[in-house]
Amino acid sequence: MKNILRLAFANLRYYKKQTAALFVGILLSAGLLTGVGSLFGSGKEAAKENARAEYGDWHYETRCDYPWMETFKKNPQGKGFKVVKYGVETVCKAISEPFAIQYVYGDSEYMDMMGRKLMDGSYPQKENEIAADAQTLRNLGISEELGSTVILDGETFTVCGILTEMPQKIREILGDYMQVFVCETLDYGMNGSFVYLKFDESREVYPQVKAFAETYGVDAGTFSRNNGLSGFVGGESSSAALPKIAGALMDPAYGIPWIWGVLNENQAMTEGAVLLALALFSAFIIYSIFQVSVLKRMAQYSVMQTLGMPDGSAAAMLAAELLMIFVPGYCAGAVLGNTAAFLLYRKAGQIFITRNTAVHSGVDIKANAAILSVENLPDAGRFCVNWENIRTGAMFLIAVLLIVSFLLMKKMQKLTLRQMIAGDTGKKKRDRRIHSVKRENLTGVLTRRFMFSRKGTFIGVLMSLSIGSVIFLGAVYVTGNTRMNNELTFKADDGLGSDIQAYEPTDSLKDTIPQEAAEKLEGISGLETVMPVRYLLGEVPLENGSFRWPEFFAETAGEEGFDPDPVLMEKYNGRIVQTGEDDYKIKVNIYGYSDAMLESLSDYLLEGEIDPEQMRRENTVIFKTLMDGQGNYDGIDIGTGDTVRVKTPADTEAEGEVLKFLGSDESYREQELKVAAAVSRPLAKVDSFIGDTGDDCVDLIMTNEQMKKNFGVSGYRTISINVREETDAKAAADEVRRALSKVQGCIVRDYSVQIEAQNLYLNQQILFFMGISAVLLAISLLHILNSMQYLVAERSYEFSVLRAMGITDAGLLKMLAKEGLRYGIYASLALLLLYAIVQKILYYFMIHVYLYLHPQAAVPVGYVIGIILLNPALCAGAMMISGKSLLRKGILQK
Amino acid sequence: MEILQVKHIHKIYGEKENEVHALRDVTFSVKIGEFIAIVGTSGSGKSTLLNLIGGLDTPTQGQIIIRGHNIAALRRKELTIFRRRNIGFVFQNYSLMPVLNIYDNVALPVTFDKGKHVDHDYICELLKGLGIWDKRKRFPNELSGGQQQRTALARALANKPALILADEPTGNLDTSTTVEVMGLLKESSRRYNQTILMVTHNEALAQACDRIIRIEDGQINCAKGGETI
Repeated sequence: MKNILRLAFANLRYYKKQTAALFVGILLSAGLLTGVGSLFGSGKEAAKENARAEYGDWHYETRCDYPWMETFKKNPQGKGFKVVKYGVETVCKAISEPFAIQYVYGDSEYMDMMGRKLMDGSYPQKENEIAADAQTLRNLGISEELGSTVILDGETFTVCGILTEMPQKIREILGDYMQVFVCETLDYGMNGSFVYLKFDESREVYPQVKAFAETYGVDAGTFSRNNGLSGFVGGESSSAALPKIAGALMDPAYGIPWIWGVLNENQAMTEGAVLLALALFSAFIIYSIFQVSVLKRMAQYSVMQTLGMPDGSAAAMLAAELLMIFVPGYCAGAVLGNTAAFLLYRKAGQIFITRNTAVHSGVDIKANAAILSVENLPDAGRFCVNWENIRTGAMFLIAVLLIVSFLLMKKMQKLTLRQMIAGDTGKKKRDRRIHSVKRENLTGVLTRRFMFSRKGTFIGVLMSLSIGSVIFLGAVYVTGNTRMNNELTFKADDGLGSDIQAYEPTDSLKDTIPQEAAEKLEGISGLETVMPVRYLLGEVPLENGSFRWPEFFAETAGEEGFDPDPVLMEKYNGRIVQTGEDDYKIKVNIYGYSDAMLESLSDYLLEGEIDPEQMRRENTVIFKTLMDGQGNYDGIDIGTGDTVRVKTPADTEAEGEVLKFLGSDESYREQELKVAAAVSRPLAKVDSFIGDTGDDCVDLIMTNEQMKKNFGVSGYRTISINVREETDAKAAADEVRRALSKVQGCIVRDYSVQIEAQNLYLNQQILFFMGISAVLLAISLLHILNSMQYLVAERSYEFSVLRAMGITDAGLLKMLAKEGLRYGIYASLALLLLYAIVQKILYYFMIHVYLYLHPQAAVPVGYVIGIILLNPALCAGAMMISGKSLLRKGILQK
Repeated sequence: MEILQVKHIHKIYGEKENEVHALRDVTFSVKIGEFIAIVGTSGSGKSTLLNLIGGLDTPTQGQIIIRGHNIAALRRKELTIFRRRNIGFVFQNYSLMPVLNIYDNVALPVTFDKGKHVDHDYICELLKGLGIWDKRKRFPNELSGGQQQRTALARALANKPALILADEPTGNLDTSTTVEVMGLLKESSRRYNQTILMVTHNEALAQACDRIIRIEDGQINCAKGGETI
């Protein structure tokens, strides 16, 4: 073994060029792989800490007013789990009037886990004292001061403490419920206690909760999981996903998008796919250089075998050589990559954290505005080296190298020692044509023959030359479409398409912003566009099977556990009703947009054409259809040219039963409207009636004039306002507020801060991905230089013979440049072919997995042309540089 | 008429304590059509001398004049072209292009000269003369050592050079093939009136040449006959 190592080391020192080429290839690949891995890892760590703040610092919760709790308190540790912390929450009472309120007592651990800190005063000590957060106190209609009193369910309570707000996501889970904290002794005889458990996070928490349940005899099914944190700490049973996936594979309705979604918790699959692509790229780079150097040395291995070295030792020597380069190369690369990643993360770490944008659609609360501001971009935390990624990457690449070594050894074993010594690889078919008969110049033939003499090597080199560019183009493609999708969802789904919004928050058709009031806004200076929106609720029959997705709505799915929204059922008789075997009637939002907004809607076009003039002239409408969870839009068989029969209340201020569309015929009017276009999203939305998240409702969109003409609607529900660039949005919002102050209930919101935050966030994200792809491209270009130089170096003997035979320096350089050009052209062709395949896959994923809106952005032609030209230019340049360095040496040196 | 004059050639490799004096004041001349053997022990400087004559290396001191041109004074490109047109090489390890067939290997040096058409009749004659015409579509690794050396010889002759430099051309061959190749060299020298300088350490082969130049420790050894005719 010692001899093998010595021989391997001697080889490395002797074949300096090969060693250097492999070392550089490994260094750069490792740098990229481990650097990106650490960026993702740091982002994930920061996201975990942010989730802890948003969801509370606990993993599982269960009801605990049972005897096992006493056992647990006496002995809180057991086999297979380690409880780091636990807190108990006791719900003493719940009332629904005047608001939904829970009276809660929480021990100090619970308060700590939930981040409920005392800002002022003390925790309740007496039975008539309460502590709550400022938001709750405001909602209860009392001032946020100690000593304020409030009557709840006939009892008077005094505020003794003001707390910080409950974790944001818990508030969302609790929904309308507010919490007031009471003293421990308050007991209405209806106490329910819940224990919140935090396990040791250094190992997966799911097996721990299972062990916990077994130890104390608790039904594991009664545990609720902290969904925000669980993905980061192994909170879900990995075996639970397998049956789901197996089921999905059997059911064509689910397919790859669904499986990807199941596995892609916290972007694990997305990041995994990126890292895998980088790992494959690295593997190709290393393989292409390594294969050439091994084949070149085949004769020596065979000489050693002739001298009696066994096959196993040859393989061991090969592996030893590789590892001797790999270990320092990979370590140095990891240091390099992580240093670069550290610097990048310090600058723009926030972009690596998955961020949920709050949606605003006209009835948002002010608190959300603050959450979305620049100051509230998630905290990037500190940079963490992702050791797991470094380990996995190393193991992957070592495995690749060992497989390559093994395959090469196998290949060598197929040849006789004589064949190996003679460099005869046993190729059967060879082109035996005599080229000098027809050609004056044989250097071209020589170049081609050199290139194609080892097809495996040639393909390896081509792949490694083109994969970097493919990843770059793929990244540019995804980045372009991500930007487009972000902008589109930003405007449509998040409702952040305009700086200021004025709206009526109620669900009464009577409450509108009068036309005259809206017209006043036109006179305010600094406003760029004022886009008022009219609204009416309607119903459209979908007959004879034209509605293809009955499972889409809870009302028609008939699925257990998938129940219709009781409020929608109560107020509007649900969003859809089935009237026959294949007949349905669906509630629709009918919007009237200004021309400017209709023009913006063109970005969401699925088919047809949006022309406000023509719409007014021909009284045509735009049909906004449904989108399913896999990005499909074919749920309703209505498209351009079809006619929609829409039923609307005859009285545009109708209320109550009329809006259920169950009243007598005279309460309604019916109208047939021709569809001019279909779109995927609405822009300004009204979600105070049947709701509108953008993809789960059918909308009919027309011009404001048509709304008045067809239905008699003249008032506006919302007004979207954009301010000029140089204008202070806050001051403009104040102006708008003043102008609309007389409109009852009208709310004006300034979203410019959130828009600024979102833009900053998205731009940083885009910049990062562009940056990563540029680094990748740079590495790929360095690899091209490395590979080309190596290709020259490994044939330096042949070139020296040619020089001895009389080829001029210029002739040799020309020959090398031609070879480089050929490599570049072939690499570009391979790149185009691979990219065409990759683009199709990416498009599928963008549409069906990530639900991108209209990913129509193609890679800029300039980029494609640039890359196509860059490859040959670089290859030729690299070849010539290597050729020049060869020419500087004497012929005899080889 | 003299085709080659070697005048007071010195060749020193390395510097200071690593200095090796490979050739010391070597002087001799060669007439057209001569077949000369350069003989010496291993490390005596015979291959160095051949490389200097071939322009593959430059002398530290002295002149090498071929057909009236001092090759040490030629510029790089001029030297390359001069070498291509006037000197043919035959190496001990054949040095054929593994990716070209025999015919193309032979024609290759001719194609380096722009505007110079490959004389296919001549190549055909060469290949037939050397007995490898039927192997013309084979690749080097498909031939025996003797056949490869014949190919190398054909390649050296393809440009009709005035001078052929052969460095141990039979070093890798068995006795009968050695005799064959020697016969071919002599035959070429006679048929095309070419001058051949052949490095060898085989005394018997040297005896078959027109003249022997003996080199020892970088000098022409006059004591042992120096130049023997």
